[in-house]
Amino acid sequence: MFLQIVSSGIAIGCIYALIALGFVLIYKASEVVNFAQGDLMMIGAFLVYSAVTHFHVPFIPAFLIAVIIMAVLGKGIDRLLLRPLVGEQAFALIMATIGLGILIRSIGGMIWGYDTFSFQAGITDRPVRMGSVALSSVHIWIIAVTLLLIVGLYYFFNRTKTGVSMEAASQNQLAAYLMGIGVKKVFSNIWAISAMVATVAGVLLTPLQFLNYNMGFVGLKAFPAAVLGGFGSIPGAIVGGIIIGVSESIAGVYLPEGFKEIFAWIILIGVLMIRPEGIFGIQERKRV
Amino acid sequence: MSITRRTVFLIAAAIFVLAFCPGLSLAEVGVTKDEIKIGGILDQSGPIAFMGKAVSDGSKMYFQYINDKGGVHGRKINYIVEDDGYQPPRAVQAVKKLTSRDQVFCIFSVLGSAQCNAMYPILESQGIPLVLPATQNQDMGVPPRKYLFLGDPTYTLQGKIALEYIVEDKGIKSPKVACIFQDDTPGHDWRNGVRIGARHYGLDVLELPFKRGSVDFGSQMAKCKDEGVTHVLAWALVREPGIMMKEAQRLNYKPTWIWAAPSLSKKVLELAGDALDFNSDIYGTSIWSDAARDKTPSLQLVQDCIDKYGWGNYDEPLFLYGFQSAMTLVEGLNRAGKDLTREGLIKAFETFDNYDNGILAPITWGPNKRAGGDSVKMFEVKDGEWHAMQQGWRFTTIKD
Repeated sequence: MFLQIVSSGIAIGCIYALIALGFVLIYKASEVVNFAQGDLMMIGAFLVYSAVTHFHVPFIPAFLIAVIIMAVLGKGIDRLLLRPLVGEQAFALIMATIGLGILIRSIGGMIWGYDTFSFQAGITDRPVRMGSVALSSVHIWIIAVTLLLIVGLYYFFNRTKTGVSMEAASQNQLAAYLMGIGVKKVFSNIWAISAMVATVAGVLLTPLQFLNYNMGFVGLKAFPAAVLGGFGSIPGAIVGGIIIGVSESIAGVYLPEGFKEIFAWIILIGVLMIRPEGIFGIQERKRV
Repeated sequence: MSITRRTVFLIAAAIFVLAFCPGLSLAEVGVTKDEIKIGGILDQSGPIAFMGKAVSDGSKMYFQYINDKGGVHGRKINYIVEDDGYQPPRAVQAVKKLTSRDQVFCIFSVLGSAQCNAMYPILESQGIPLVLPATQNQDMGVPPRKYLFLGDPTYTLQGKIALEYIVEDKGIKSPKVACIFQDDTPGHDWRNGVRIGARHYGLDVLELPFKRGSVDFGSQMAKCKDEGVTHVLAWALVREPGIMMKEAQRLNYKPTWIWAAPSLSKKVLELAGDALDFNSDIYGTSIWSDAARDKTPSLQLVQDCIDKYGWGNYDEPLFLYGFQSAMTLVEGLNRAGKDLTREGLIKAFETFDNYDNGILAPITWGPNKRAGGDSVKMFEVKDGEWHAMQQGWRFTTIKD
């Protein structure tokens, strides 16, 4: 029982982690907190849904198409919304992304309606026996895909030239610029990557909670995850997401009714009081 | 002398008017020689616009049919629908507009019990009936309010019957029951029904509320499994049942499910997907007939109207719901007779004794009874669809 609760917590935590990862990537690079991350996830998942349901594309190609469209959309948002705001106060940028989130949600509702949908992702929902615990195949899928994605991103940021230049730009924009790194292009790519990650999160969330124009609100849970991990740390986002997911899951079973919904926020407030820089956060002084 | 003559003249004039213009002297607001004005308030643009539109469309179609047949006692029905965007304050504005500017005869079909409660004092002060609110909340009919006529079987009744079904029909004398419900008025109504049933049979119930809009039911399902719950009685809408049943599947947990009426839709089963293959022990308390299989004359009439007028959707339960609401109202107007008044309509409704319009559960109203529905139909899932398990309607013997 306990292990099952933990495993389902890890699975939902992985989704929080992927959304938090989107927050963190963009924040690291451009110090923008993208409050539209959850809504990008919604669009990504709905693109897969449309391709599968309306255009009868098999799941894998449908997924790839959605990822590509989302990458373009991410770049577009950066070019049209964020670039004109470069140099503006953080407040303006936050308002812009909140507005973007509302806009995306409304457009999503207009296109796909306000109903709830689902699509067959070829993932069956069978319990799988692993020793004494029965794990769900969906949970295993979610955890496996998340791990794969993290490994891929880790490799990308540490081993490829583009990735390293992105890492450099996020650490020190001016120095990176002076070293000949196209900072604008880096930002644009970061937006593309986080939109792609959002699509993966959306597809993984669908078997658990279905598609709905307001599914992006799950992003609100990812925010404490990102803060917990130390806003700006990729491993932090992952660990933060999983901690939130698991603790929420346990709170739902062992604490009185109502704690489950607010548990993520209790953790958030606790972290801000005790260790405001988060678990993996470093005291950053370079930006001061 | 002159005063007496004037009095005589006035009396004569009054007698003249009363004798030769009966329509004028007895005319009720909203009723003319050839028209009855009816006002409805349903969401047409807000969060549940798809529901409001389906219901009002169904009613419109039946009124169109009746008007084509010559109306009620020669009067055509003029059905005016106002949009409240599912907001009680706007519903109150709408009711003011309908009663003062349009001068409707009665308010018919209001979507949302909060809306009904908000507008009721205005209607009561003017003696205007509020007929057939499109809700199943217990407080619409209990305690009875003179001008408010609820037709639907309440959620409390549904909760009672759900438990009664397990114990009496299935013969399971000591089931381990959990009640999952949305933590608001309709959900509480259902829980109250389950509580009443549990008290009647001396059972304990594990109560698990959830917040409106919840998408994660992992902990509720884990608790049910852990406590060895055999029967889950749940009040939810459309998205939640699928999530819960899939979650149970992930936990390898197979309870018997009984859902309240709002979850008895195709969409719910569609979303549940392969969870139905895993566990198809799924039931529901339905307030209407099995439209796909029952062939009552009324359901046939809906189909005929759709064919005749070229619009409408037979597969949309809420369209059928709006259609049958209009049938019940027209039955009341018919019974109220040619000299139609509001008090007359109320008297007419109070004569409804097990009135069966062929779609909704039969309605019984009386001088001190305003919750009309006393029965439901048990539905079960077979081959991925909802099927009625019985021909007639099921009443309860459990007292409150």
